[in-house]
Amino acid sequence: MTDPVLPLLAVLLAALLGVGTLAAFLPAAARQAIGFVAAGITGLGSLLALFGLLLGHEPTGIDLPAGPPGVALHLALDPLAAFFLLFVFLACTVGLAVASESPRTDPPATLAGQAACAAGLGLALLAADATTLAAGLAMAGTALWATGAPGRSRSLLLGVPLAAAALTLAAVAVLGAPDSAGFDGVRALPPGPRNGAALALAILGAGTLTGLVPLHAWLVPAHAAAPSRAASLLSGGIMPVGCYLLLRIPVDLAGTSPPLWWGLPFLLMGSATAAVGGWRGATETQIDTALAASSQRLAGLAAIGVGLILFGKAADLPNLTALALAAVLLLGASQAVCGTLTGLTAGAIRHAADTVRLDCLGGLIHNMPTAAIALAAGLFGLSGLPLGVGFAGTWLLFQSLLEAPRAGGLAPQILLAGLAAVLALSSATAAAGAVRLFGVAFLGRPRTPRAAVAEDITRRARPAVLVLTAIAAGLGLFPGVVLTLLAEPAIEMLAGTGLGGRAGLLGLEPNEQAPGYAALPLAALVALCAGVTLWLLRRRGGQARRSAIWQDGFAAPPAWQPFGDPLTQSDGSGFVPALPALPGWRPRLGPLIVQASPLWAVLSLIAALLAGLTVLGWP
Amino acid sequence: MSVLAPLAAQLLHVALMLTAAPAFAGWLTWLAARRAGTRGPPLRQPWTDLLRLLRKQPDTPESASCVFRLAPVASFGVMLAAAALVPSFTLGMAFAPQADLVAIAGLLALGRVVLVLAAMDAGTAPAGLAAGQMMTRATLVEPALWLIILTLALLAGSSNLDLIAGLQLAGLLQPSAASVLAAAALAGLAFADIAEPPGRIQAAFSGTGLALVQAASDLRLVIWLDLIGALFLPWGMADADAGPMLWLVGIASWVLRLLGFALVLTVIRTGLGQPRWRALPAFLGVTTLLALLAAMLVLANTAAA
Repeated sequence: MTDPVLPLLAVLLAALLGVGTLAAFLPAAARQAIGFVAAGITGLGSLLALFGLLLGHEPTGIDLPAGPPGVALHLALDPLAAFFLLFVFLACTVGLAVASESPRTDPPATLAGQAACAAGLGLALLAADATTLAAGLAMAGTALWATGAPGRSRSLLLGVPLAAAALTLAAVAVLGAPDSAGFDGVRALPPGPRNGAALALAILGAGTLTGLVPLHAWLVPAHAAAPSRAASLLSGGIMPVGCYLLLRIPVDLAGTSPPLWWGLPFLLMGSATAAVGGWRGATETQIDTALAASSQRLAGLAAIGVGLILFGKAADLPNLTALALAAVLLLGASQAVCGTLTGLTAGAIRHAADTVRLDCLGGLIHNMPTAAIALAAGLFGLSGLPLGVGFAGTWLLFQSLLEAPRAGGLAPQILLAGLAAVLALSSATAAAGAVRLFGVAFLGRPRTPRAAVAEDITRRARPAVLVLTAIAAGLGLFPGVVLTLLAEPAIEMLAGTGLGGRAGLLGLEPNEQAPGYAALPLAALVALCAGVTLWLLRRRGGQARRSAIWQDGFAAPPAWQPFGDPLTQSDGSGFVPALPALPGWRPRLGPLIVQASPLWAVLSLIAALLAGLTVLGWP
Repeated sequence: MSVLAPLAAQLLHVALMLTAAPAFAGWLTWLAARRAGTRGPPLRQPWTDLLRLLRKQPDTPESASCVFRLAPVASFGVMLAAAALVPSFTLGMAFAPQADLVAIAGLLALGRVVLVLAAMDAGTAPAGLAAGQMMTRATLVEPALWLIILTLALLAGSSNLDLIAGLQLAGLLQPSAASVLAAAALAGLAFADIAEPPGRIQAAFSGTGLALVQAASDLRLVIWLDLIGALFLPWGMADADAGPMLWLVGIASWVLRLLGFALVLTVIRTGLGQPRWRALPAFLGVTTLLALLAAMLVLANTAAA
């Protein structure tokens, strides 16, 4: 990277933290301006990362003296960090711009916390050693906690990032580098038996942050505890950083020559997460939890990708590694952009209709057209429907599955066939969940009077949301361009080879000169077919007649039900097959973990102990 | 010639698909009526119905939004795009490089999703019920479909439909036992996917909207059969550069294939009946197992090689 980019980014982080602190003490009128300043800072940071990626220079690092003498924060900007910084800061920019538009209803801590959380996430992404990374995550967690509504689940907003920070610290410490050497020192070490322990800790840390399946119990209560505007930070900021950690520690730091079984935990946890996330997205009865499940599904797909990357590295299949890496990067970008879009819309709905229950909404598209467009684009990207960015990621994963059978015996290949089925099941349930969410909340008749008079996103916040919507659509239509321009250096850094000519303006190809997924021509074909049909219909002319709903011969609803009986509309149940009732004991981990939230504290304590022991020279 | 022939073949293919879809539906109805011992409607009946519906004024619910008006158009457009990608009488059409199997499966899902959105916008109970049923069935169909794609893509080294069909035509997809299993699974999927769910989504539409939804549903049926035909029985398919005489042979073989499919489908439907809705999970579970068996066969072969 160019020399001035990283120092400028460091200055921006400090400024963001300062602005955030300032926002907590200023009166409401000034807070709006402060919010815009914070949004400008993150936007500038995003642009700087873009600039650095496009210019493509050597990774550089700097040391910032911070805290007591002799202690410094080590920052570095390599292509992987720059890619994630670009999208996470982009998401934060829009989140901050929208948040600054409603200063009177939100407590002052919200805006301050959001800005500080963005600064913490930026610090975690730019970190060049474990201590700085942990400090960034801790900062983000503390800021999130400050935004949270008081309640039992609020501690999760602090506890989960803190636990992840401690586990990450322990993972890098177990790898055995002296702390001053940073990540470069870790990379220079020969692979040893400690790598396995580091892998386990990294899975625990990053898996908690992204919500991989056995570690995902915090997601729903945390989303419920976060205020509507900060919930977008959880799915659009915290979870992509978790994806980044999944790449950084197992692949970059510990994965120089992994054994063949290393990919296994990622593949298993990832497929469980993809299946469970998709399923829950299609069955949850509240918007925010269903959206959290969709983000979680994407994290599961990313974990599958990380498993395939490790498998490709172990079996020395650079093509497989590059394809899976491209998939993970696209999914991470999609999570940041689409997760923020859907999170912001869910916040707008909660604000406008005073509820997130699906069976209390309906017909919102008439009064909330901007929110409808934003949610449709976000859900389209999160689900695996073609022409969306989620489909491009899933397609790349499928192609890397096709590369995989050249390695290993029969046993790993049975797993591969299972993975294809999981990808399909997850895509299908995600599509069902997306349709259900949009259809129940935005289409049809209002189910409550409050839903009938909901107001759209405020006019001054609309441009920011629409720009993000356009970016989400652009990611889906031009996945090849995004990968070539922005992700190629990161892929070259981690996989050894780049995509080369396999990603371009027209689409993605599994091999050089082989036909692949052509997003742009497909979009043109669909647009042509639908456009000609529409043109022919328009030429025929004729206006549609509007009439009352035919209720299959039942009597018209009484006058006090102006929108008809809400029970005669689908409430979104029955969009996935009914699961067979399992006999016997069904563990209910969710409430258990929230009530016994010290579990996360215990986990972090163990991790901190491990880290301390390793630093002290054990074993 | 090298640019014009694929383009001409593509246009001819789309025109043939548009003509054949309602005709095939009429042919199915006629065959079923003959099996039941009645004379049956004339073969052009679906065309007459479509033209009649196109002349009628559509009726939209008061609460419906623009989604309800535009969704039939979008759904038909997506289905037409999918139909343009699945070869009927020739390989190497203009859009052959874009005919990725995963993308085609995605387009079929997209067409369904758009239609389901319109049904939910109608705001009636039957349409909402039908919407849920359609998505439920998609959840059951999709895993088996992707396993079949995995099988064929592993055999052919690419997930492009045109390449796979070309290799199948040359007899290069080995072992062919895997192809047979995958063909059986795909036939099961097609059978389940075209079965009418108890809640009819068409009930929400009228006029031009109903015409488009009906045409899209007819197209969907022919797309499924063409997929089976192109992937497993591509005999007689010409190359786009081969010239009009071989195109005619291709068209003749395509029509013969469709007629054969119609006969088989009618015999199954009248003899054994439609799969009942409640039995669909079991039926599709068996189909998924077949597809998994096909994939395992290929993978075991690759591992041994």
